[in-house]
Amino acid sequence: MATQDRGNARNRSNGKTGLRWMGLALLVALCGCQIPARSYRSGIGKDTAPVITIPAAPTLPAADKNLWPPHPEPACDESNLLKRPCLAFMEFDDFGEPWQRTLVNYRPTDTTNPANHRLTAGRPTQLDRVIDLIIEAKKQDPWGQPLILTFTHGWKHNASSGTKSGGDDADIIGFEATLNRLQDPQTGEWKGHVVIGIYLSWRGGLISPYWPVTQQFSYWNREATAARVGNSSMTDAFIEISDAAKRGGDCSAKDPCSQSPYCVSASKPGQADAAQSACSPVVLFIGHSFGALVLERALSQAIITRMESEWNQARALRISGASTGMAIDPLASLVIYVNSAAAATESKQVMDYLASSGFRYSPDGSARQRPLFLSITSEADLATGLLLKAGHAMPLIKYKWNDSMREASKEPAADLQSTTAYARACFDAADPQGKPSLRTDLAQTEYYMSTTAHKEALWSHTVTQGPPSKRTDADPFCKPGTGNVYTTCTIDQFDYTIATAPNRCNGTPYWVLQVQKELIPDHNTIFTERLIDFLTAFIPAPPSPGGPITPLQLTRSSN
Amino acid sequence: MTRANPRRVIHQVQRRCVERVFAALFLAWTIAAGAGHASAQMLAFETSDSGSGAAGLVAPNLAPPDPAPSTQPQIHTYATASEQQGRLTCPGGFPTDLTVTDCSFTHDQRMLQWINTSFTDQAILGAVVYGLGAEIIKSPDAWGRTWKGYGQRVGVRYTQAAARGTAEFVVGTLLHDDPRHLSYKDDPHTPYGTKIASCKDGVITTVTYPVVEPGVWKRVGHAFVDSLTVLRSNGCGIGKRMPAYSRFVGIAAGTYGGFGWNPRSENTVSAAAQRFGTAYASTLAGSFYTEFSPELLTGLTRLITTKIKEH
Repeated sequence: MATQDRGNARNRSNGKTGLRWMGLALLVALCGCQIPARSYRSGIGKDTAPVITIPAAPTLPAADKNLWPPHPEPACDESNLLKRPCLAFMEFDDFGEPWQRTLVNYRPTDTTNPANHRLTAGRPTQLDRVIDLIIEAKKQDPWGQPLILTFTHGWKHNASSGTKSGGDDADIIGFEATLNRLQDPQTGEWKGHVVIGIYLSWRGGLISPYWPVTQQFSYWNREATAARVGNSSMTDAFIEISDAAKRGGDCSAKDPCSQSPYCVSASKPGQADAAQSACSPVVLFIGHSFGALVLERALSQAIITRMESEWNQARALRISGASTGMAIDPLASLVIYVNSAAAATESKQVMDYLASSGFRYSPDGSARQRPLFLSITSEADLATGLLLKAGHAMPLIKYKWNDSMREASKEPAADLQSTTAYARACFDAADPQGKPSLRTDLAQTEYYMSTTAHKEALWSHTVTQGPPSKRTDADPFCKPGTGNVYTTCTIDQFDYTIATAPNRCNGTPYWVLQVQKELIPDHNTIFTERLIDFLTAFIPAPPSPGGPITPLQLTRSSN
Repeated sequence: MTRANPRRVIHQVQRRCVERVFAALFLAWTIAAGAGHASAQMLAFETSDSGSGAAGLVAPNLAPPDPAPSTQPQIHTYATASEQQGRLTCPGGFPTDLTVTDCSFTHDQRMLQWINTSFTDQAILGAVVYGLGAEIIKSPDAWGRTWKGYGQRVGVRYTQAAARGTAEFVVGTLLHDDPRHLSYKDDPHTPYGTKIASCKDGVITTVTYPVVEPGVWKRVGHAFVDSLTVLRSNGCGIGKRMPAYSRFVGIAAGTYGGFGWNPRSENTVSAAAQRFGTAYASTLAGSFYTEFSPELLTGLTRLITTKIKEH
């Protein structure tokens, strides 16, 4: 009996201890697992410099004491951008405001040294550094056509440089490796050009990876944050980056490209041909995962505003009776959303705008269309393919409860001129005689419960995978196609043929396509040679030394 | 004539089961060792450990790519940093991934795994869920189906997870192993796809095998082997296979980790062996999932997509 009592007492004691342990564990779980809200790249104190030089690729494996990139990374050598790519950082807080602002007004006496930056109190300091870097890039590129690549990261990432070599955020390492690859003196598509990267950072990581379950539940919180971050300050940053890249080009004394070899050697500086050739950087805005949501939120209104404004200016100057479309200069050469985690409701309004306005985007206004927006996702991206549906299921119930979602209608009520049915505008830019039309086949729920590129009805193009054709090292990865085939790319073991989607509604410059897992294996593995090679089919090619530049033209056909 | 004690009968059955599990383990282990040896022979390469800890397979012939018959393995070498970008494909990694500069299982990764599986929310969630299961089936009997009993069940599982994770961390750190599961196709020592053959003196040599899809039994066998062995951590991901000491020490630590908590009836050899077998079964399930997850995920995606389309 006494033994049994002792056993019971021990069990009671164990139970209390167990509950105490559980309580302690829960207490620890509820605190101390957040990644602090802070700036990592201010250059103040121990923070790494806001503009860094990307070190040369290491001999692999870069193990032990040879980890890549080194820590801390060296500040950018802005006097020699051709030698190594530089990467600038811009950081935004949870409400989309820039982390760092300039305290004082300062104008350097020696303006010839690129390291002497002008300062204006109240301005976002990191943005000013970015603009200075772009101006330097334009000055130093031999052909006035540097590659300016911006990348907006997604969930669980930030601008952290870690505490030791190789400790940078994985997206920074991937972006640096990509810039290195593009400017590689042997194999890079942009060898001989200046390549700069701009890493737009927000607090994508809320919970430490040491709390993996809690981290997953930060999905809704970070999605809401991403939607908030893509706000005025980031829109301003994109517009200023675009303007700094595209401004000037007339080889006049005030032109950032006036010292470029082209302007110096041009026989008639200030003329129109010089203007186009001297300064036409390729500007790419790229967003991944929730970063694509940030980018889409920040850009959509700005891009439409820019297009409308330019179109109105062009229309005012149009020769009376002219029948051709009018050229418009968009904010970026190409906007790429990779494995976007934004619901298709985000892109729908832009696609409607592009379709109903009859936009076309092509080099020199030719029939061969190019994308202005490219939303690309992998069939193997389960994070945006399935988990987004799970993540949006609860909010959908709320929307349904409030009767917010509009339904599709097979026979929409309409008079001769309009309908109140839920509809989407359709337009095929590849058809020279194409006119905008309307379809009422999709409900609003279908947009909300899918990303753009996972929704087959929104595809502008299809990608088919086949056995590889013979290719030598001298051949380009992608060869232009004819008819409905845009291009065929030979990448490793396969040929990828990109063709217009059958019976498509979306024939606008907002291209939407889904690719095979051999190109993008999952949600996060995006910094790969395969994907870079594939994307070269869509990115305007750099000019060959001394060769002509064919600028892309966005034209609008409707009045 | 005396009636058989039911508890004793159950214990005898359990003991027999445990003995069979161990016999199966031993058999699989033997196969694993044989298969590891065979795969090394199949590659016809000599395994070696370099002084820097980079164990590697050294190709006997670093000839340029053989353009002739495609039925023969193709060998490529990449000597400069520029050529090597995207060529270091770690086991299970995606080819041409530019972010990969090192395939070893780093100290930071091991630390992250230790903390996650032993202490933080993943360990807590595991204890809460499995504790709930034990509460439902009332295991062990000595603890009532009460909140107190639930607390005890969760507590003991949390302790076991901590003991297992810590033992794995310590032994894994000492042996420098790479505990990540690999499928047959991703295994650096199987003749499938493009694999790194050697990685010495700043030169990466890859070998590309003719495409021959492995049969199901070969993959099942590999899943068993993979549950019993691990690779030695290596910068090029081509470390030698060795018995998964850290895994089994971890399982054993987890098995005995709850001794201070458990009622006396659970602190017997047969009960411990049962826990050991269950823990190994979960490892084996993980290995099988790794082996067959591509088919599982493809099937699942297809099923859901079809259902959504029908809806």
